[in-house]
Amino acid sequence: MSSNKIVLTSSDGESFEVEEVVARKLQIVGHMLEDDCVINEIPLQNVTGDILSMVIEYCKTHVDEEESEEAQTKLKTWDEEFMKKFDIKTLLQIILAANYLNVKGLLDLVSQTIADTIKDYTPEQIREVFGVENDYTEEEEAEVRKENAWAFDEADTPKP
Amino acid sequence: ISQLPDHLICQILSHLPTKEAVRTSILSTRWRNLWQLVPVLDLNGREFRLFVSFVGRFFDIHKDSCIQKLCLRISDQAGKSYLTSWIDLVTRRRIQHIDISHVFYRPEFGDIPLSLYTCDTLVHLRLSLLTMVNVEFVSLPCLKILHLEFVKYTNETTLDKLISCSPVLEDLTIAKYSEDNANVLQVRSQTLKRVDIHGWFDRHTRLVIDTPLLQFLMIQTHSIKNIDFINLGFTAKVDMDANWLTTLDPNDLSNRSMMRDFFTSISRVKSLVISYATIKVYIAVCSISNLEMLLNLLKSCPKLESLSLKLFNYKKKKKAEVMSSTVPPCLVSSLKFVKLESHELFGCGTELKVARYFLENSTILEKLTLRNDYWEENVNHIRQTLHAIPRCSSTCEVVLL
Repeated sequence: MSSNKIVLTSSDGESFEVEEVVARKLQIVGHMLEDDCVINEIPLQNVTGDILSMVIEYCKTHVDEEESEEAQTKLKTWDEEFMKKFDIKTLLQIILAANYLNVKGLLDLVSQTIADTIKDYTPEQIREVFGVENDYTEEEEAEVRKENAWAFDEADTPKP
Repeated sequence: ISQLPDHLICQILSHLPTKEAVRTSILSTRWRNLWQLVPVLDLNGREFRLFVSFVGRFFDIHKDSCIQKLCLRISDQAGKSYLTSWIDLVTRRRIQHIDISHVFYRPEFGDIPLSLYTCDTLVHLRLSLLTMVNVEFVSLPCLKILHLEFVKYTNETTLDKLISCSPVLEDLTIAKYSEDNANVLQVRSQTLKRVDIHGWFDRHTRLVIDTPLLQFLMIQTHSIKNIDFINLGFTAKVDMDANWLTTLDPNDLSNRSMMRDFFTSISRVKSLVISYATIKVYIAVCSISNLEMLLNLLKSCPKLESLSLKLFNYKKKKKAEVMSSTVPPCLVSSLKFVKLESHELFGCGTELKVARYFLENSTILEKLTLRNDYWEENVNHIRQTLHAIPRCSSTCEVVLL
């Protein structure tokens, strides 16, 4: 692969110069490059600079995905540490960015991280942490619970 | 989070067990039916009958769409009839990932329907504690990952067929069940990259490995007698956990010849190998006389890069010195990493003797690691002794863990 440099520009005008192989990890960029191979500056409208820099950090680390066991374990540890850096709000911004930029590995990683958080909480805690407003009436809520009673059979006690 | 588009919320929910995903329906009206869009069924059933009607509903909802993943943990008898019909159903919904385990002690129940053996969308299959029926015809054109843990076969050729009729298989894990009816396991594949076989403790079953593209092989066994390596690929890393050799009497000549044959078979593969390949071998050195044997064996591994030795059950303190007249060629040309590990309480004499041998004779050794949980009070003595040993390789680092 050539070591061409490509400049990615965020919605708030921040520019990042990256190797072409790294930029191609963003599939949206990959497709643009296939359509027209002379581009060297790409504006990315739906992502801000701070989030884009995280995505680029991920892509740089995952640029050559080796198959050896050691390399895989190392990447996995890196992924875990990387995810620990972010609060929920940032994670939600990253998932949107990963979706828009089409970075499959990152999309899976963030989804898993958010799912793990949800798993640990009761519905009340999820509402609080993720800012979900409960717009059910009491009757409706009881009905929903009844509909899938098997999923709610354990008391909704907060897990430790 | 509610502002995310549906498909992203579903993407998140698909990483949850179905029960947790369904529970999100209580969050708000927006969430009420979102879980229904998730093409994953992941149930952990202590009481299988509780969600039988739910599963029926789930299949109704997904009548016309694909189901990506079916993951079931079953722990009661009631599941048997459902299991067969559910697998039948998902194989017609372009299923990619099936993971079914049963949490009993013996693989007594849960026959796998024939439709699974010819599922042309399946990529990832894991079965645990189940029985696989005899099949005539297997065709799994997309299967890349196959994990079979404590699976019983009504006919031993079933397993061979599963492997040989999966033309893109890359990753194979087998945890062998001792009464699984498989007396010979033939791992023959042109595509396999990773093979992990554990629980190969039955001395009467044979294992044949013929995998020219292999990159990683791990076998946990206590008998290497019945393993045939036909082709291991050019860059295979072999991780042989033969801890169970401790039960061997090092003076037993048949065991010695067995080990020699094993190493010879590895070296035969290695002789095809390009220089950067590595082999990692775990050997239990049951007594110091085995060390002499080890050196002889190392002579048949001229390209060994990394050696990991576990020393344990050292009962008879024979004072045999290492007297090997010639140094194995790998010590001069390829061996870079040596790790010595001790698991039982005994004096540090053996480790030091072994360490001394490698330090004095390995020309390009980069790192020697010693590990022992019990020698707190000896640490200083060991450090000093190691420090005083003249090193053949000037760049060698010695690490005490």
